[in-house]
Amino acid sequence: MSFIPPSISQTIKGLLYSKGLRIFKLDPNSRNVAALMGKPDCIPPSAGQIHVHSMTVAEADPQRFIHTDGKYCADVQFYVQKWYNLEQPLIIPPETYNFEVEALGGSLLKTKKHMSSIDQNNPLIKKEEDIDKVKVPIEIKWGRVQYVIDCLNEFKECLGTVSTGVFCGPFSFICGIHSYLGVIRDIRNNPDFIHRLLKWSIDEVLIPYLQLLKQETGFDVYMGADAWSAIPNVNKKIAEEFVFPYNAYLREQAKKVGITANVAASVDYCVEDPNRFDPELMKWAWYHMGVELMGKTFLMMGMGRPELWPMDVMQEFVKENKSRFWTTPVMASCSARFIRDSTPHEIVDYLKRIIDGLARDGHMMFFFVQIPADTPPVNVHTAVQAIKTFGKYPIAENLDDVPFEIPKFEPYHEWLKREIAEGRAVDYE
Amino acid sequence: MKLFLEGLKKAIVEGDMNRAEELAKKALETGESSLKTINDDVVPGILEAGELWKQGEYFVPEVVMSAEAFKAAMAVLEENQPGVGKGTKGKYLICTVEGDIHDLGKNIVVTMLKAAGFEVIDLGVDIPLSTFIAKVKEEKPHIVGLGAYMSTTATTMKDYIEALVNEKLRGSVKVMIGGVRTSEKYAKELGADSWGLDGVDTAEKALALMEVQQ
Repeated sequence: MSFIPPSISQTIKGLLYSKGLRIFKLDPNSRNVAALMGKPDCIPPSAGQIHVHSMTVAEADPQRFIHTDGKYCADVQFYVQKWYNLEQPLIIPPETYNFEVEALGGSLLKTKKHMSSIDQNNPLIKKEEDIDKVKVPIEIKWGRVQYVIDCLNEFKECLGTVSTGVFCGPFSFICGIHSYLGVIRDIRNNPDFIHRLLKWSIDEVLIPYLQLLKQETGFDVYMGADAWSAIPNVNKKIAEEFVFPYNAYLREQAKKVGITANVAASVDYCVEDPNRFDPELMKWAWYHMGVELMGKTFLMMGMGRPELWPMDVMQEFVKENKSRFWTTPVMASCSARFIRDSTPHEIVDYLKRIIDGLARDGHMMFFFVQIPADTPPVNVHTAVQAIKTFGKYPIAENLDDVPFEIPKFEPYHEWLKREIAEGRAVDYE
Repeated sequence: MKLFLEGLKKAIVEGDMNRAEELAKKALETGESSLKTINDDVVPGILEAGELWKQGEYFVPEVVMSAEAFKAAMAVLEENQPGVGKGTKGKYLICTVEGDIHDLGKNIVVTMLKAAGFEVIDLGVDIPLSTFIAKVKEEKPHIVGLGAYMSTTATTMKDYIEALVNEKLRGSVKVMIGGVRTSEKYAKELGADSWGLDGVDTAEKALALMEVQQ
């Protein structure tokens, strides 16, 4: 999985490297291609929702970071990810689920220092006839649309190229505009309304919004965040009737206007209690989550508790979904709780276990899906370093024999000061 | 009569709030008492939904709808006999901490606590520390439950627990925390007595804390 679309030469380099032709040095983009298709030089680590953690590490002004200054939001996330040596920085404005609803006039509960939340008790669309009262399409001056555009443009400036933008996936959007409870109630009492709401959301809100973002930023690849459709927030029946068909419809409609729009986290297996783990449901969820986001089978460790998932079930899934032309890649991760609450040594042990069990034949990337605000930086530095050490190909026969020390690191502000002085960073303050 | 009542329990298990409300009214019309209806059908209904959740049969939508049906039936029965739904297992004061405005999870916890027999004082969301302390002094709960659903707000839970210590209230009240950004380990670090994974788990652990307290 690559957030920055690789160039043709990067794709070829990565592909050849993965097949054993190791005459090139890999850059982050070609390394991702190599990891997707086979064995790279080492497993590439990257991160997704690192926004509020970045804000905390950088001691950034929450009001500016979350609400008013998209450029600042992007810079802070970019440099914190560089400080951690993460490959392929992914910059996500913190309130991905809120921007579209807010722009349309939905009520947000705001606090000064934290992310806002859509007022689930006072949704913009309370009943079916309210759809006709909502003014669409979203315009640039509404809500924080300009902030999102500034964030994406600065992201492009940091990378020197366009990457992947993020928006709110269709099911999560209707949970924002009609409330989760309203959606669940009407799925039972008035399913036709929910079908109408989903179609309206895509045709009248999301596609025009993505077109606006594309026009203002040049980004033409987007990932729809859709945690409201994770398991167990939805069951299989709801997913099959109200999530998958509309993700597909969104993809088709986006394609017609030159945009690639896939949805992430639909049926992400987020069951918390290991006693409730259901191997069949896990496999079903992994299969569909990969297909919804990537169009192919992936083992994606999303926002759930992958550190508790049974290794044998994961191995079976990869094996069962292998075909002549496709080996199911593993997008490895660990939960937000795990990266925050564990000791560095516990993190190292987990990474060794996951690499040992799932990465020996290649096809693994590591993606920290969520890093909580108060995660000790030593945990993230340790995890990144451990992935690069134990994930070096060929993978050592016994990972316990590979020397590893918990890394020492320069404090963020000192590092940034030096980077600025040496011309490798800008003073975003 | 029995048929109505079995239907009421079923309506709650199946999350049919309209039918639950209708059958609660019918139970009263046929001379059944609010208390008996609650004890025999309404509470068993929501407890069965919780059990189905634990077994992995129910997902959040089913639990949410069962909770709605439970609330609809309880509203009818409490209107008929005010105070009848007040729990007897202990007093539980619950809120989300300042800055945290998520209440879906908290509302399920409240329903499960009520079903488990607690009198629940729900302060709501985004509750400042000073309000929380004042309410603990006023209500004298056996247990307080603090919820945080964002990692930035979870960090403030320690201030609430410290304030209970500073106000010399900690000795008389048990503390539970919950929310998607919390964990058992986190609860221990903060000095809480227990951590609730979800609504069912919170109710079970709260009952266990009451046994310890008594």
